[in-house]
Amino acid sequence: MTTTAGTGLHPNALAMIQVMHDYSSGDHEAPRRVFAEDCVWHAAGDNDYSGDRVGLQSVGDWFVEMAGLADDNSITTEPIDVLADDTHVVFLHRLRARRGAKYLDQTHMNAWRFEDGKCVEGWFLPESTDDWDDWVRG
Amino acid sequence: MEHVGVTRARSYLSTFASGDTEGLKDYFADDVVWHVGGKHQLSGDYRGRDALFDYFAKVRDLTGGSLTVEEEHVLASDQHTAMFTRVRGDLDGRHLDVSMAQTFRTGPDGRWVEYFAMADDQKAVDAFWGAS
Repeated sequence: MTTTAGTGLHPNALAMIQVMHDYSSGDHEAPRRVFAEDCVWHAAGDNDYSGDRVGLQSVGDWFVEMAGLADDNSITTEPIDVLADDTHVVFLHRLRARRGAKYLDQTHMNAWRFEDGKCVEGWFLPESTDDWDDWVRG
Repeated sequence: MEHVGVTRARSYLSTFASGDTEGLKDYFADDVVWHVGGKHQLSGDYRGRDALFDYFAKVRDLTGGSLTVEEEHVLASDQHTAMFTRVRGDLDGRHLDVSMAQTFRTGPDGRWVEYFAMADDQKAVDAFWGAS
């Protein structure tokens, strides 16, 4: 079953939204709840955190590392759209975060593939990888 | 019931597979922006339908028309369409075979106004297309 934003949310969409809300609220371990043990995460860009992470520990660490780049309590995420069904979720949101003198304000795409209720593969893509790389590098 | 965006996406993939380049134009707004990520000769933003179709022509020329895009999964809302696809092609003896997560932003008339995408192996994509 596929739902559209505003007409009723699929459980996978709700799970994604809750995880991203909790993450941006300070629970940086939240993503570990939805990833499978053998998950793979593809992060776009050309920085020290780009590329693939394999396994729940490493993928979960990526989210913690990303949060650690931002100044305390500076991360906010504003949902734009969520597309979801039994096997896939695509979550588009506006992410804002400060890193010293640099302020990030971009749309991010997170695409997740689910098996048995857990994310087995994910893609992270910011709308501008150049701006993302610049922010990450500090 | 299938969302109209899913139907449209599948029609697009079918039109692409048929080689009907003119037929693809109906899917895109005049002011479409197409973002190509990575670090290769085709990376960058293509603004406007003419620029986009020049890009499509270059892709076709470079690959000898060998590039294929196979649906793995499609989702849609009223504002966006997401496609998970398998993309394969050949260029100068190199073979591409990657999974891509693609998102199209939908305009008020149903045509796509913006596109961005990411492969599961961006290094393979960069190596395939090569530097400018």
